[in-house]
Amino acid sequence: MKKLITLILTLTVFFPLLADTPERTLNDYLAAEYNNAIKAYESKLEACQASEVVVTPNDIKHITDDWNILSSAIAYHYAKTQDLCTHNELVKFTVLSAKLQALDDTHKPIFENYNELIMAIPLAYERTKIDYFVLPENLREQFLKIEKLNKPFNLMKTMESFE
Amino acid sequence: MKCPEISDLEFSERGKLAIKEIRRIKQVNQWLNTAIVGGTFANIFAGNGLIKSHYNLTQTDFDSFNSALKASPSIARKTIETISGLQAIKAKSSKERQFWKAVYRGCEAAK
Repeated sequence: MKKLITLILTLTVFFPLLADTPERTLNDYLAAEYNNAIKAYESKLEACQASEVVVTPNDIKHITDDWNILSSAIAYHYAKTQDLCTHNELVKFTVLSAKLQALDDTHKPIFENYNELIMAIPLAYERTKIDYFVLPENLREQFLKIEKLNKPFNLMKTMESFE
Repeated sequence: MKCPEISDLEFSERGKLAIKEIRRIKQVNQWLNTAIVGGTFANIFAGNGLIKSHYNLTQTDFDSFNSALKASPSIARKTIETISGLQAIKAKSSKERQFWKAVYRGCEAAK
């Protein structure tokens, strides 16, 4: 009888602890990877934004003189190239975030806050599409052919070259 | 970059949307509420109320905002930079562009 009680106590006290350890380890591991993914995304974004390439009026003014159109095209292509440049890092962050949210309820608000913060960047890219995709297709095709618009470029220096 | 003085700054509809977007991001909003107590920037970015039709911004307003920005988590800074950079290029007036550029680049008040 004494042995049976000991066995039951052992199973009820230690089994949940043993079961919890791998789960906690997984949680800690994913949280560390998640932090690394944020840092990696940030570093890549910084590197992509550091481009010294400047799009000048000479490059695109033959398409149109209308600043409304030019600014929509510059904003869209800038955001698109940044999005492509950071694509792998963003995917890694997104997958880790989804895994952690599926695994751990207690830290959900923290992950949601970080998601909101980081996703505001790709969302800004999505917003540039609103102005760009109302432009006639023939104009968009011409912008697409401009090599400088299809690689990361310096946004402020580009804007200043038009001022 | 030297901080500008901007009087009678009026935000376009697109500019107001960008401000709402920055306000919507909880981490940025909470941090700005703690970092900038009072002042025009607190009203613009950390407020919950309506965006006013006109703002007068002094060099000191920009300076305190940018000091707070420097002390913020770097990823929050990147988010604000991205939104303000894209907004600068789509600004409807030179004052609005000057505002978003100063937010994007950071500035220091003249000593």
